[in-house]
Amino acid sequence: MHSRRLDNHVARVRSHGRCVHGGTDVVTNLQRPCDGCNRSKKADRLIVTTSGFLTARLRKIQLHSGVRMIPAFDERGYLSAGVHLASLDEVEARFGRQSEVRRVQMESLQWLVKLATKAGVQRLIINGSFVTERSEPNDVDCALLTGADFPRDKQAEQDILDGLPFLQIALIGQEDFDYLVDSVFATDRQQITKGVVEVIL
Amino acid sequence: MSLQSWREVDATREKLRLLEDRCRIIAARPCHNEHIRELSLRSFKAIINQMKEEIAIFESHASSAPTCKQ
Repeated sequence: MHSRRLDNHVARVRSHGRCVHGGTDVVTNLQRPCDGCNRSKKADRLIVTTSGFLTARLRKIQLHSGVRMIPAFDERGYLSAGVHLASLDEVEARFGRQSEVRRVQMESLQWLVKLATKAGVQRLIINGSFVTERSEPNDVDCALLTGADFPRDKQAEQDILDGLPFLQIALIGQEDFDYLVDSVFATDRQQITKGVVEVIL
Repeated sequence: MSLQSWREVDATREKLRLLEDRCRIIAARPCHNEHIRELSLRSFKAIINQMKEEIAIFESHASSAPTCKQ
């Protein structure tokens, strides 16, 4: 059912040339195993180029349908431009095991996800060298979007504000979150476009 | 993260300018949640300070190194 809804959405994106939710997403094709029968099936992957595009509902659809994937690194060692959805387990498998530095950074990130969930954070974006090919990243930049009932847990909020090792945490409201992700996180220090990862909370 | 070239310094300065402009907008706009506004400002200022540090460190090293500006 979820998969069918996503297919419908993709069809509409194709017919309109852009996302009906107002984003400027790009649709690409790839092969993936079907969740139901495990046979290879042509599927669609949405690469989101504006952070405001993915609604919570569509993110859930992607989560349940499995129609998402962290792309391969480009020749510069970056992810392709856009916001790439992933579960925390997927983030760990892809970025959190390759070196001792990455392992401890991943531990911090796992703590942050727990705290963010308790505090009522709505979205969590990871940027910085952690989501590049570097074996020993310097930092893990995180942008946290505050939800409507933030802070749900005052202590969790305070723990986030106190900081966690290796993490640079920005805790911000919707408008500023979109700005940070679209204008600051979208390019590197040489203004080369790159992608970021959104952890599914 | 450390800056490696004047090109990176220029790009960082541009991001710095955008973030400082944004801070002014956040501070000036009407707000229905003062707490979230404070958090946003605090977060942006932390990023601004980090960028300023990186630029200062690069310029300090560049001025003491016997190399030309690229």
